[in-house]
Amino acid sequence: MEASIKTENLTKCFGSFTAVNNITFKVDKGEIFGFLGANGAGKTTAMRMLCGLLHPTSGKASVAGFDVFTQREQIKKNIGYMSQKFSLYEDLTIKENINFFGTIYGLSNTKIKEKTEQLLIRLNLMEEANSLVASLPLGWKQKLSFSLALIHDPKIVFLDEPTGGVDPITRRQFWELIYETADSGTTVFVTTHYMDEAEYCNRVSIMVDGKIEAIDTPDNLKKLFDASTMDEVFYLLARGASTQE
Amino acid sequence: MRTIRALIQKEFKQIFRNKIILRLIIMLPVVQLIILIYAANNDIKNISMGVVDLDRSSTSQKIISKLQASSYFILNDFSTSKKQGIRMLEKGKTDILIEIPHSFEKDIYNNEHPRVAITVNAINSTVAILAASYAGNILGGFAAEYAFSVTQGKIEVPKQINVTNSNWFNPLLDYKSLMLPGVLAILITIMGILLSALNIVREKEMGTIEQLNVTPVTKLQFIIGKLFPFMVVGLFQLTLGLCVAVFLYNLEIQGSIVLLYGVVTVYLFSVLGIGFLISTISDNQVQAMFVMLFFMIIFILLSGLFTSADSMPVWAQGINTINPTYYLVDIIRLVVLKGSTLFDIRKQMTAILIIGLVVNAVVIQSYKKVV
Amino acid sequence: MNTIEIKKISKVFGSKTALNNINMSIKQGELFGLIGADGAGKSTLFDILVTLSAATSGSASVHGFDVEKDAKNIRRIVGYMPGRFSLYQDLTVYENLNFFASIFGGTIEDNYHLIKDIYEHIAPFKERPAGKLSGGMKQKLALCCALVHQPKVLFLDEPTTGVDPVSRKEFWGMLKRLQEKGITILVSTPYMDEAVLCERIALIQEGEIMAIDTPVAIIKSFTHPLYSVKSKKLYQLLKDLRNFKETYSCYAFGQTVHLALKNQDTTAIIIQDYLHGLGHENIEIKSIDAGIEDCFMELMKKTAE
Repeated sequence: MEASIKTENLTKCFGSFTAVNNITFKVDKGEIFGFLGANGAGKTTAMRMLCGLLHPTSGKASVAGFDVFTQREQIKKNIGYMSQKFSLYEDLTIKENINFFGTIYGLSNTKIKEKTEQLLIRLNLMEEANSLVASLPLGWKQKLSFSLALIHDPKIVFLDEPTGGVDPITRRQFWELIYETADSGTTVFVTTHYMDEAEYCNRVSIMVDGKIEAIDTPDNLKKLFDASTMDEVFYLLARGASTQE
Repeated sequence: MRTIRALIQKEFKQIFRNKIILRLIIMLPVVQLIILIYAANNDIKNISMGVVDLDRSSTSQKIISKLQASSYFILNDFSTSKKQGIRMLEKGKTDILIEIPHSFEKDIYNNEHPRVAITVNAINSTVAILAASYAGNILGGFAAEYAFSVTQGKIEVPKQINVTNSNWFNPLLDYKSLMLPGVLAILITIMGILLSALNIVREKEMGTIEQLNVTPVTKLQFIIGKLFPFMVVGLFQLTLGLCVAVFLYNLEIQGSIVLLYGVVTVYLFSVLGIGFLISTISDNQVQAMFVMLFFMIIFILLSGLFTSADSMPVWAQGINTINPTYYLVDIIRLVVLKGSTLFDIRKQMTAILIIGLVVNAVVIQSYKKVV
Repeated sequence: MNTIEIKKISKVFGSKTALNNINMSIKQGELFGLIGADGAGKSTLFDILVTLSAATSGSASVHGFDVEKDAKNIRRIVGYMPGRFSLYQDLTVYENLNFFASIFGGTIEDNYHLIKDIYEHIAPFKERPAGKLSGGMKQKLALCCALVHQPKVLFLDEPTTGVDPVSRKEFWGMLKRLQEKGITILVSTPYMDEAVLCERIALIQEGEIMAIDTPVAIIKSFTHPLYSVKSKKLYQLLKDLRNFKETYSCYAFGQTVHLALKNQDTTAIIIQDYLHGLGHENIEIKSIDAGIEDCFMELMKKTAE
């Protein structure tokens, strides 16, 4: 399988502080890859480099076959991104948001119409199509944000801490959307600090102090560390970290 | 193109749904124009006048009543001694003191050229100068009349060159006419920089800008998508302002209205650019506000609206070469009051255009989608 | 007497009912957990109890003081840690602590014994501005500031949200030790795994309490037979089990699916055959005990029906 994401000694320094320290890994097409780590471990920085939002300091990386240094605009056309704040336009309606992002990504009017219907039906939001996003409960905003990240059928979708504080059922519904997406061949790269969500991923990597300390399937990691949950694995790895100060 | 259209549509929708901003956009021009003009009126009327008449003759009475009759002065104090008169002036009970000396009538009759003293409180120098000159004019007029009436044409009045003041382009020295075009300029400046400076920062704070950064939207598309809606808002406010000026204050626009709109469009291009520049360097709305206020105050105070720009010190005039508001106040006054054409204002227009191009180029450069 | 009494509390914001007829009693020295997701009403309830806002109807008392009539007295005896970090970002650790001690008329030394365990973790950074601390450190500082005036009751609103798992574990260790000192603690959290660390818990969803009891009792009350099912293709498994006629509910739990059956008669073999028939490979089926999360979701489902 061709690699969807490939990095080699990718590094990012902010002055004298090395946020991301020589990370090397790859993600296969259609994988659900969990990028784990504590707050401040460097995972958001790493992800932003892969999305073309941040200049790497050194190393190599390619996303969807495009180089992160020289082909950033190509990368942007081929990836979807869902940020922590769900960045939907709160003062626009659901339909208007869909329309806007569809146009930005160059979808034709017919395609946008098609996608709008699909999306509204899938998320059960037909009745709220003309309501302002601000009026939606958190869980729905999450799902909408995710769907919008996929509107242009990107090859890879990046999710930055997508499931904040929602109830367990809503969280699972969200993850089912992720499964469906991966099933259809889209690679899903997700960062999270909910270790139980790590279990939903095909493979995970755990970042500590800018370095990748472990990368494997959740099952293998649990065996390796003799742990019963990912939480425990993380605890064992992170205990010695200097981000604990 | 479709992208730009989508960006513009989104911006307009957001403006219309923001009730507070919407009210500001409409209320600000109207309220500012009404308040600023009426309240900051520098017209000379009802100046408090004090008189010391040491002559108490019919002539001196005539002078006093002539002064009183003008709408400029209100006789508020009739002192019996110079000392008392000055005290009134010092206390602020009067702004101008007229002293008629002891043997005034007799001296006039005897062709002895008596002097009437005019003392003025010059704390507000504009008022002082005008008050003194009104008084002087009235007295001078009286002298000529008197000479003519008393001698019934028999004594030859020495030929003098009468200086008559005629204020071109603002015949009545109507303060409103002076201020209105300038205030319009300020209005457009304030709203322009305010909206643009806060807008991008708000998107930064909410996170929507990061979402856009990851899309194929280019920097140029992004800026155009912001410039256009705010230009429309600025021109709308210009229209509102002009309506108030024309219908409420009977301002007569001498020059071409089309030219006016053209000028303001170019001005908005540069001033919005400044706002965007501020917002790209600010992390949050509060910071943006403070930086914006800083620039606005400098631009407005130096612009020539309240005090003459030409009489400012060299360093201030130096700053004014890159102060777009200075050029705009000048242009608006020229076009509205004098009827200047594009050719006449070409220098100022070019200046504004250059400022606009430079600023916006810097914005596009520095608005990095990538850190 | 119960330390915290909540009787028929409701809170309405315009057309939205944030809390609906809440009834709860919390005993002296209990470590009580309020478990629910964002928007369930946890913070709203806390606001009422610490006298930050008034209920629309109903009454509540803390240590015998009514939340509306005796607000001043309550404020003297409660320690509060709100959901968002609300200390002064540009004051140092030490300055923040000093500030909160002084506004209660005391000094840090007065009650140092209470915060000693916790403070030791952050003491090396006492000259650092609070804004520059990591998430875990901020929580510890906020806890110290809530304790420095020796409150009788501690209200912690989502104290571990967004904090790394290591700090979370440490934090709960500290809470247990505080409980031993006799302080009543009311904690809210969206993390189901933290629920089992409490003495008693209340499960709250959409402004209503679904259950109040000890974690063990709640788990026992899970009515359906529960199995953990695994196969090679997780997503397909989920879909197929949903279509299985004996399924009451099925949810993904990491790499397995928790399957709750409608009745006892369905055995593992029946499930296996069904899945085998649909082409699943590497099928693993185990009978399991319910966890808090399973119970929560079952209750949510029941409430919705």
